[in-house]
Amino acid sequence: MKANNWTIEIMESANGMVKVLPNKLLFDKIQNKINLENKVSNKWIFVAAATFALLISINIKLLKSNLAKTNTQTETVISTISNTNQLY
Amino acid sequence: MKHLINDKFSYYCNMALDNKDFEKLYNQYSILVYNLALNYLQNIEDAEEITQDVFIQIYNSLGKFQEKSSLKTWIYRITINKCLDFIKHKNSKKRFFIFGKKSQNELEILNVTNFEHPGVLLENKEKAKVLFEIINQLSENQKTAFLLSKVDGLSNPEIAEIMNLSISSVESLVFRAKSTLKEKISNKFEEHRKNNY
Repeated sequence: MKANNWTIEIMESANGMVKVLPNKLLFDKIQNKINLENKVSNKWIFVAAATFALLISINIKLLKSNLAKTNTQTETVISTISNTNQLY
Repeated sequence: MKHLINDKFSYYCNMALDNKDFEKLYNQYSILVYNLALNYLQNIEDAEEITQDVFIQIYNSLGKFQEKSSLKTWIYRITINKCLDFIKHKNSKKRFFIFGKKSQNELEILNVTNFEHPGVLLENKEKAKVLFEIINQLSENQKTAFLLSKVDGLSNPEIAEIMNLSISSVESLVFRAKSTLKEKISNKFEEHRKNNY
């Protein structure tokens, strides 16, 4: 009986609970975090854009130098063949 | 579909939030978020941290959100998910301590059971401490359903919408939560009697 009463008392102990107000400074903290997040993200966007531009320019440069190399190699082969008239 | 928890969702959803609107939104829902987090985590600092995280997420994703549920339901879901993630993270830290060196954080984790809820009436403080300690031992779903039903005072259809479950599942969860709590509380009675006599 006692155990039963105690159980009921414990179960009902949360009745009449009052809503608790959060700290008054909490909103300022949230706004600061949002502002900080925005600042960081802009910085990272700039870094990402710069890296991307750098990668593209390196690629273009490499492609150009490769094309120049293949052109000279083809010219050498053709000139050798035409000089000797020997096919194999 | 008419949502059970009505609010001015479209008003907030169809605009880019400026500071004033965000403050209005915060004033409207901060007590809900903070109290739910407090009931879930039973620690004031943790509840404040979760409240911050929830409102940052709301700020970042409100524009992208489609009106599939009410704003209040959506905020409830975000808060519950954040709390569950937080508890999982804390538990993983707890497991880590078994192998590693003990730190001050472990004391924080252990303090959960000694938490006195600031919203509980003074005469019920000691009893509520026992209740919250046992609520922590419930499964995730049972704990969520019980807290929303008994502490937040939501109806079963509202809880069903928040938890994305059928009303009968919620009824069963609340019933099972109550049974488990009663069983664990009566087991604790012996311990209580020894301490008091």
